Amino acid sequence: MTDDPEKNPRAIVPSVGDELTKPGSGLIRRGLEELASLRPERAVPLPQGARVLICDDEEAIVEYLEKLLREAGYEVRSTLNSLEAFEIARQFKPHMALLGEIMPRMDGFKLAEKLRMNDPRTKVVLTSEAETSDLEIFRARGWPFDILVCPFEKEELLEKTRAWVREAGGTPPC
Amino acid sequence: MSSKINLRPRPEEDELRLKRSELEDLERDLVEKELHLAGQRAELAAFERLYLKTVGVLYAELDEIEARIAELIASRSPSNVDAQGTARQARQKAAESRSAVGEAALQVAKRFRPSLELKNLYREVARRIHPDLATDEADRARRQRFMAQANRAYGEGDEARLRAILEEYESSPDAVVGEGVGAELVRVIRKISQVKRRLSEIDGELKRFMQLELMDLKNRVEEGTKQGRDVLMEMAKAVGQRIDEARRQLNQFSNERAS
Repeated sequence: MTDDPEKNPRAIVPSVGDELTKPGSGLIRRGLEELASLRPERAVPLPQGARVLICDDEEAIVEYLEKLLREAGYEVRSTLNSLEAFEIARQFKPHMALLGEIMPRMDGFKLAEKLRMNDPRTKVVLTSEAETSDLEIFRARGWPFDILVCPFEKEELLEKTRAWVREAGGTPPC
Repeated sequence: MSSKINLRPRPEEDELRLKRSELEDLERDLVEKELHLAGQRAELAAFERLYLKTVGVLYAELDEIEARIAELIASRSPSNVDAQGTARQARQKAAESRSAVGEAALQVAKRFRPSLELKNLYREVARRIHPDLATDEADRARRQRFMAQANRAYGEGDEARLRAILEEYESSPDAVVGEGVGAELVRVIRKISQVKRRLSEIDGELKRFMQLELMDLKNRVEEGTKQGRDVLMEMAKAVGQRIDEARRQLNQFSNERAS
């Protein structure tokens, strides 16, 4: 886009998005990735508590997980919309995000990356039907999230959630 | 007894008064939103310059070293198509990074912090010059030229230039408008419509800013600052370590080649 009003009558001023991100967009993306992998020199923990964000496009799964974790004493927010999940995470600052793998609009992998970039302190977990060998591939690629293989038992979920929330600096209920 | 007869305002005069009042409210809103938009734009531009100067230049340096390593490897095996391809890609990446930081490296990286005087001056400029207050297409084009200059001056914090633009605009004979209730009413109604359209465009533009990766990066760096961190320096340090490692690798390859 040009900022020349003769050529582009609606452009009163240069459009910052186009102007700023065209040549340097690769470098901006790399910066975001760098930031996600940084270990903060002066790490500040997430606010106290045990907050879990759930996002899956299957309502029954969300309802089940939400009920289970809420009854176990976690503060839970949930959504069926992966785009909305990102916005919720910004406000809610969850210790853990439990995401479905395949979702419309933005799949679990993409959302996981975005959540980690947004706040590397959040523990991001994807529920997946992947085989163990696939998990090894995920890990080898250095993807910064954990996988919870489906199907899983209620106790397994609670036990792992306790560990993950604790890892993120939260205080899980006993 | 006075011979003056008090006539009730004609309907079009009543309507004109109402429309003028509506336009005044919208103009005030428009001026504030334009100021906000210009501020956001300038802050983003300033942040990008700072980022490219602090971290971007290091990526360019890293890419250059990695391109040389890839070229060294390729030169050892001229028949290896993969190695040749990797070297070409690495060289292209290095060129792109160098070009992206090239201009930023020459600019002074400073944060955009407009003074109250500068903001007020910009409000005045927007109030008088805004293209959506134009009366016809020729007027609009003229206002757009002035407004583009004014936005640039605001982004650069150049108060004198902003004042000069306003004076130049005001002294132009094109600034004079015609008279007549009917014509004026039409003009005001059209202005209202233009202002509303521009307000909606500004909202769209601000939303677009929020979705930019650059904005995302800026927000996170600022979030880190609130937590007492210097995130850009942390990033620079991390890339610096990778540069050291790449340089060691390059030296090793060069030495192997020499021996």
